[in-house]
Amino acid sequence: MKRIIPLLLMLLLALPQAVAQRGLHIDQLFGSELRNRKGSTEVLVTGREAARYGLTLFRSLTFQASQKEMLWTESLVRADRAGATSMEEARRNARLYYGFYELKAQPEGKGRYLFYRNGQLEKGSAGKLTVIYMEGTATIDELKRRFSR
Amino acid sequence: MKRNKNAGNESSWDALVDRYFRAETTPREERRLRRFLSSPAGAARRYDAVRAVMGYVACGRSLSRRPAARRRNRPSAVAWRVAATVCLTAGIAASAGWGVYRRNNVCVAYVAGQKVTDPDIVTRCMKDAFRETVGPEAAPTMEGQLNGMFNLLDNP
Repeated sequence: MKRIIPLLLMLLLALPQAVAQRGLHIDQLFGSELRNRKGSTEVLVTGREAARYGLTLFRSLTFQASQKEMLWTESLVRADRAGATSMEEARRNARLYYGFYELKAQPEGKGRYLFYRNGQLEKGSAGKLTVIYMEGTATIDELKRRFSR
Repeated sequence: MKRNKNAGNESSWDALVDRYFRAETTPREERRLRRFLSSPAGAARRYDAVRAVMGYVACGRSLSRRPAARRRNRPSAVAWRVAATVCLTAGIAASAGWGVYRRNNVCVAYVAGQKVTDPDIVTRCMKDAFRETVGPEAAPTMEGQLNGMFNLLDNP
């Protein structure tokens, strides 16, 4: 009895975490005070709900950024896109307008995607910055189809 | 004068004691002998041996009966410990399993800091974020691509 309880506690501590450490620079955005601002939305979906879109993880943050924050966010996205296997992006006024990046897949074969859009670069727009990180087996085209429903 | 039924001929009691030691007494005779040995008449020292043996036998009989009754009605301390360990293990495993399930099935949104767990609302926020990022207006335009190329030349 005296040996069983410590063993059980050790087993509990060894259980894997659901949201694994991905080591991306954009991780600094999620769970930060940015989500508490007026007009901000942060979404985290895993498991059953994410599986409907062929994903195991969906994480996004939409927020109104200051000039400094915009530059900082863009630098995070640039740092993470360095290892992308494919990308599609556009610039406006020397700034990154939008970017869709497929990052290096995980060892277990799951795809990883980083999407970015700077709505604040649109003329006359009170747009926002949106950063999305996704993991799953769906391709970008499949994701577009599923999210358009 | 009231006759003490436990008194009487000493030789008859001695004979009964002899028969007891030879295991020839009936249960009724043993009960008579036990009552005699408990009485003042049977307190003589020469009956100490038989009193000791009868007492020892009675004690042993009582002990052998009690564990069976206990086994019938009450589980042993070891059984209680095993049951407690099994329950504790099952409880910890169930809690851990539920915790892992909850951690692996997250559906939450923070709208201006307010936590929302309604799956319909969270899903809507998810779709909105995706569509705003990958909507038709985000599709590459000629202007955008040209700007991109020139910007790339200016800022390699």
